[in-house]
Amino acid sequence: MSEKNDQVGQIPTPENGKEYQFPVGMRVLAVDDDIVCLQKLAALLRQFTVTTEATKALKMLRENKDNFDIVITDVQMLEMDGFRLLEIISLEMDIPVIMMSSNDDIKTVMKGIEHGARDYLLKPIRVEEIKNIWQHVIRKTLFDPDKQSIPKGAADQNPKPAKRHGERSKVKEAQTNNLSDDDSLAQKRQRIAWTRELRAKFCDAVKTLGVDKAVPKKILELMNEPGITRENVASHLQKFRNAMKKNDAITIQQNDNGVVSSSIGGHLPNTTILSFDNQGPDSVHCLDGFGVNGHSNSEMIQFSHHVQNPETFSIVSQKPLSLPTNQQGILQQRYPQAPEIMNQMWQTMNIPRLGNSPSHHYQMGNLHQQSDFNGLKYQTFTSRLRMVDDLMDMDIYSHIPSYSTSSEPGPSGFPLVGCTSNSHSIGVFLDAGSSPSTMLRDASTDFSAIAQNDSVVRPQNVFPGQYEGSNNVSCMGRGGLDFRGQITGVPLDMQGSIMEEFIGSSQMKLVQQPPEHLKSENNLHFSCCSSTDDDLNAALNPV
Amino acid sequence: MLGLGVDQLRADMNQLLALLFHQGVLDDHFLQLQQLQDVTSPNFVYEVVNIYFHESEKLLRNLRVLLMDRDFSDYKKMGIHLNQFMGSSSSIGAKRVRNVCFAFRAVSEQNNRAGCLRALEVLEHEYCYLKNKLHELFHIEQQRVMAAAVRYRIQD
Repeated sequence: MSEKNDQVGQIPTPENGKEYQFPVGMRVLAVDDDIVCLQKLAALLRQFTVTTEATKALKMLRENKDNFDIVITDVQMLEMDGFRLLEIISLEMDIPVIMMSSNDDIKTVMKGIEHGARDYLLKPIRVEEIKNIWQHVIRKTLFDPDKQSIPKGAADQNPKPAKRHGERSKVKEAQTNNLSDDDSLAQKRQRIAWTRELRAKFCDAVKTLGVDKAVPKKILELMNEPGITRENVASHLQKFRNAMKKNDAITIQQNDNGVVSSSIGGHLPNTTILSFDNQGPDSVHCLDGFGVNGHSNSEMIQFSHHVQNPETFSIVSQKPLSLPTNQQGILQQRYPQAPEIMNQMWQTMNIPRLGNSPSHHYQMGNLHQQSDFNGLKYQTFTSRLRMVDDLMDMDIYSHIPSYSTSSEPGPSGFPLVGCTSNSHSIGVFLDAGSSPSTMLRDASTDFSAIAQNDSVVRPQNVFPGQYEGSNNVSCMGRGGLDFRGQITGVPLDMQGSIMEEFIGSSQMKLVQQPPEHLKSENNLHFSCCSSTDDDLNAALNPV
Repeated sequence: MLGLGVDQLRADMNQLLALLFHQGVLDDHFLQLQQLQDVTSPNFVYEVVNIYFHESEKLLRNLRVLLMDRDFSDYKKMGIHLNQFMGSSSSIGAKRVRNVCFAFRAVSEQNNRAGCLRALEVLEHEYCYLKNKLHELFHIEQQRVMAAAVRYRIQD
C-alpha cells in the first residue's frame, strides 16, 4: 500500500536548566495500513510521524532510534505482521511499542504481551487512551538508569496492558502468573508483599516518629516485623514521600495562595495515604489507623505543604534534574495541547484510586478538583461554540447521548434494521430464508457483549496498578540507602510543572481560539465545497 | 431572512445527526471526530470521512472480487480486509457498518461462502446508506456555512 500520510513532526527543543524538567514533546511513530485510523490518531497526538508501511517505519527507526519515543502499531497489517514489527523494535531499539487492533481476542492480546508490547489498545482508539501513552515512555526512562538492579523482566512486568472488555482481569492474572516466578528469581532484592498489616504497621510507625523524623531504621524497629529488611522499608518510605510530594504538587496548583498553614503535628494527611496505597481496602485501613476526623480537605492539603521540609525535598528545589545525557534525547515529550488532555492527565495522575476510596474527605477534594477541570474544559468548549457557528452545537451534545443505542428500524425494507446485536446479523447470514427473526444463539453472547461495548461510552481508565508499579520499581532501584538524595520524584515533580504549563497554555487557547476560528472557518469551508451530486450517483450505483 | 435560514439549517443538521444516532448508524466516535476539528484543522471531519469513503470502496471492491471468484478460498485475506474495514469504520463512529463487518468476519471464519456473499450485500447496503446520510450532512453544513458567512458580511 502506498504511503499517503508521511508527515514528519517537529522536533521539540529540550528545555534545559529548568528546575522541573519534564519531557516536553513526545515523538510518536504510528504504523497502520488503515489510513482513517492513522488520521484520527494523528489528530489526537498532534505531533506524530505516521506511515502505512512497516518497512518504512523500521527504516526510520533504524536511521536514528532517538528520533522517536514510542511506537504505536496495528496488529494486522498486509505487509508485515504487527508482532514481527514489535519483536524487531523491542530487540533492536528498545523503544516502547503499543499494539492496537480491532480484534480483542485474548490470545492475540497475550501474544502481544509475550512479544513485549507495552500496551494493547482496542480500536476504535479512544482519546483518553491515547492521552495516556506517555506513561510508557516515562516508565522506560525511569528504569534505564538502574539497569543493573532492575532486570528487563521486572521492567516489562509492570506496565500491564489494558483490556477493555471484561477479560481484563483474566489477562492480568495470566500475566502475573507467568512473570511472578521470573520476577522473584531475577531480582536481587527480595520483593516483599506489603500486606494490609504491614502497611498499617508502617503507617503507625511513621506516625509515631513523625514524618520528618521517620528513618527506615527506626521504622523497622517500631514495626518489629521479622520478614522485612531495612531496604524494603526504605523503598516503601520513598514511595510514601513521593506520594506526599505529589499531593503537594496538586495542592500547589489548586490553592491560590499556596501558603503553608499550621501543621497538625505528627499526623499524615489522609490524601497522601490514599493515593499512595493503591489498594482500596488497605487505604481504608491506614485511614482508620490515623483516626483523623473532622478535618476538611483543605486543611489536610495545607498540612501536606508543611511536610515539605528542606531535607527531604531539597532535591526538587535545588538541583536540576541530572539525568544522564543520552536520556535527554529520549526524554523529550510534548504533550498535546488541549485542555481536555490536561483534564485527563490531571485525573489520571493525581487521583489514581479515587473511585474506591470511601473517605468522604478525600472525595470532597477530588470532586472539587474534577469540577474545576471539568469546568475549564467545558468553558473552553462553550466559548468556542458560542462565538463560532461551528459544526456542532451544544444541542447535539445534550441530545445525542440518549441516542446511543438503537432499537428501532432504520431504512425501510432493510432486514438488518437497527441491529446492534451481532447475534442478529449472524442469524441473517447463515439462514437460508434470511429472515431477521431467525437468530442463532451459539457464540452470540460474546459478540453481542463486544458489540455493545462499542456503543457505550466507556469510563475513563486509570491504571493504579501501573502507577504503583512504576513507583515500586523506581524505589527498588535506588539502593534504598540514600533515598532522599535520589531523583525518584521525576514523574511526580514534573506533574506539578505540567499542570502549570497546561493551565497556562489552555488559558491562552481560550483567548486565542474564538476570533481566529471565526474567520478561518468560513473561508475554508467555502473552498472545500465540492459537488456531492457525483458522489451520490456513484453511491447509488452498485459498487 | 438569512439569519432564519442559518438557524433552520442548523436545526436540520441536528435533526439528521439525532436520527443517525438513534438508528445506530453513528456513535460517539463520530462526535470525537468532530471534537478534533478546530482552528488548526477546520475541515478535519470532512477530510477524514472522505478518506474513509475512498478506502472503504476499495475494500468493498476487493471483497467482491474475492468472493466472485469461483475458486475462492482465501478467507484469511478476507478477514484481514474486514479487520481493516472494521477498524476504520469504528474510528469514525460508523457503528452499524462496523457491526456488519464484525458479523461478516465471523461468517468468513467459518468458511461459509454463501453466508459471506449475503454478508457482503448487507455490508454494501449499509455502507451506501451511511454514505448518503453523511453526504447529506455535509451538504447541509455547507449551506449553513455559506448562509452564515453572508450574514457576517452584512453585519460588517
